[in-house]
Amino acid sequence: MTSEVSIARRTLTTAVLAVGLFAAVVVQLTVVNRLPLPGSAAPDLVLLLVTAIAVSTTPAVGAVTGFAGGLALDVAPPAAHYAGQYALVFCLVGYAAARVVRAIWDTTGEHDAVMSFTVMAVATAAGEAGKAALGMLLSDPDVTGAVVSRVLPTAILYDLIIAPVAYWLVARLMRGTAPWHAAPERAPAPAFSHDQRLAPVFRQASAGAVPNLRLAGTGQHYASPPAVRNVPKLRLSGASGGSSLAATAASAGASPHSSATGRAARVRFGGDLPVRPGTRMSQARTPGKNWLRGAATPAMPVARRAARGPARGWLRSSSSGALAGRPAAGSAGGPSRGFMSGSRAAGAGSAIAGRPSRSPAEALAARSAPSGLSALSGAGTPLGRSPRAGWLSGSRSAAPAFSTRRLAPRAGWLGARRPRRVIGSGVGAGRRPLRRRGAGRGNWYAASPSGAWLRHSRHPWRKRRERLLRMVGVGK
Amino acid sequence: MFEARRTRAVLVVLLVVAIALITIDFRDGGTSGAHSAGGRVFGPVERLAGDVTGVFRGSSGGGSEITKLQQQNDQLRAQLAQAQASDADAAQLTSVLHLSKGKYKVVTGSVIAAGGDYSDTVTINVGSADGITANETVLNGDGLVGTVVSATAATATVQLANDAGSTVGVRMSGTGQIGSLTGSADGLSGSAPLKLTLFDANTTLRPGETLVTFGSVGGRPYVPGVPVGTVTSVTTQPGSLTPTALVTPFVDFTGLGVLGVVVSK
Repeated sequence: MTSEVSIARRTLTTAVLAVGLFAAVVVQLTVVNRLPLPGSAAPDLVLLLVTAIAVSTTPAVGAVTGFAGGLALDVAPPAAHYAGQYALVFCLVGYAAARVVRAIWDTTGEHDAVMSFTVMAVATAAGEAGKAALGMLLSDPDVTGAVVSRVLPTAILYDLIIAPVAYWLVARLMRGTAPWHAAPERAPAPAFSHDQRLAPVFRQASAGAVPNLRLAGTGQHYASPPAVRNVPKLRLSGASGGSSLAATAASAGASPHSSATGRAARVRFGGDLPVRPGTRMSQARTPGKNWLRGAATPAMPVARRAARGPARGWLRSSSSGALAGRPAAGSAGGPSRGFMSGSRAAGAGSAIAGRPSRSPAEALAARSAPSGLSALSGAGTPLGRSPRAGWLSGSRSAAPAFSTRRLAPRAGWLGARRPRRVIGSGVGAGRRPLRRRGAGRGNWYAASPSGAWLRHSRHPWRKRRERLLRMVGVGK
Repeated sequence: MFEARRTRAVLVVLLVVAIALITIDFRDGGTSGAHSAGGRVFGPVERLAGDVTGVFRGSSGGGSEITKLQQQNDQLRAQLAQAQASDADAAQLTSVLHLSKGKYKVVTGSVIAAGGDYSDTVTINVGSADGITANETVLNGDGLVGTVVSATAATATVQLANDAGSTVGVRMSGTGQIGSLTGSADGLSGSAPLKLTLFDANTTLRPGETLVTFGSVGGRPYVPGVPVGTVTSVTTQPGSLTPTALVTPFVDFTGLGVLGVVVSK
């Protein structure tokens, strides 16, 4: 019932506005323009009506009203300018005025007469200026700089004098049909309108970590709880158990070799700090930013090697390693030589130190493990920098859930969610602890390693570089 | 989301239409079909409104006697212009000015609408139904007003002589020197000084001389002999070969009431 009443009311309002616009055009031409006002200017009733309607309604209505009113002024008989000039200007002004009012209403939730009238006054002045500007642009002989400089301020002044009356009339007419009156559900909690926009972002950001946290008062759209991901429990040493991180990483890497995995899974968040006997360093620290990285040490260098490109046998490797599941992944390759050798290899950050000669199959298996954890953690920076190399195989074979979400995953969708690791940060791992943030050049967003670092490192790129140099006859 | 997209689509469509209209009208020189269509729609309404406001204005509808007298005045003015032109060297004028020998017929009408801030145009309540076509001289009891630029069935649009786009060929009433008179764009609407440029470089201009129209071929757009104004100041610009002057028109362009249109026979 109320909708019918409002529809009838809206129709009536629309009709009245149309008639009013027509009458404004006629009155403007027959009366207002003939008034012997000082300053050789006259108020523009049509422009005032257009802006008043625009600030009271929606941008679409403002644009249409402006176009209609301007076109009427363009073609009504005494008009000497080109048809369409005022239509263009008034259409833009009407749209912009309504848009500004809508934007202010959306951001602050406030809508009062003072704000609307201010916007209307500014829009009217802009409309007068736009008329003059377009006339000059079209080289109208009547509109020259001298005329504009004299007529324009006077016209704006007359407009501002008439503007309160026009605004009051239109606001009186539009009472009850304005969108802020027609949307009472937005009225009670306007203060959250900005937070409502932030809510999806916040929800996505906090979906895995804090699944039960919500913004208060974010309305009914917030009813559906976010998809709760499994928060992996971090087992620090002696890995056993189903969904633990260490087990995941190890299953991708070398789970049957329990001795190796056991050591590998003994995560040291301190990186290269010496292990004090009897102290559980990893417990002392919060499993913060690098918890994924620490656990996934066995898979990381392998993945980096494999990420040189879609190497030979990549398809086969992904099918054999990932599709066959965890037991098969273990058989893909054992912990290689030197995997755990040395004190540096035990550290979480010294990924380069231990360079297991593992097959790409294993790396891809690690990358595309179904639980996703080793995939998120294992493949290092090269994947993050060129994620296109393996995204197809990874998503198709082992992680179909990713591919069903979007048909074409954006570039870097896989690399984006793993904690980045700077290539150069492993240099001198014995001297520089990894967890020092902001230490020199070790930012996570630093993309490419420096040349000096590549020369002295054991990064895979070093070999590539040497090979290239040898090819051109420079290297040794 | 969808509402915003639809709004944007509406805006884009309207802007494109407006720009297309401007383009078409620009190509046609301001005489596209949009103006005639608008004249058909708004002409009768403006005529009605002009009648209504004329009652309050008192100039056209206030008293029929005044109106009648003004119309008679216009008629006499046109006849006087013709007589003065005939009294001069008739043979020379006939050969030079292509003066039509017939009697002028004047159709009178009232101003019902006026243009905006930047245009000096008015609409009168007589149109092509009364025999008015474009490019005809418009005058009143004081002198030259302008020329008809377009006419619909019920209304006609008059471009005033002080419009920046109008150029009138004039002749000094004393010496017979010819020149052109253009409206000044920065002129106040009330007492707009018109700019006179004489064609003869050796002529000396003196303030106080009066100007009449020179006349056009076939009397269109200007018939000869209609008084225009007086020279108020001579402003010969440096670098200019010909003398220029500012002319004050006889007609008060802000108080236009009854106008006469010299229709060709």
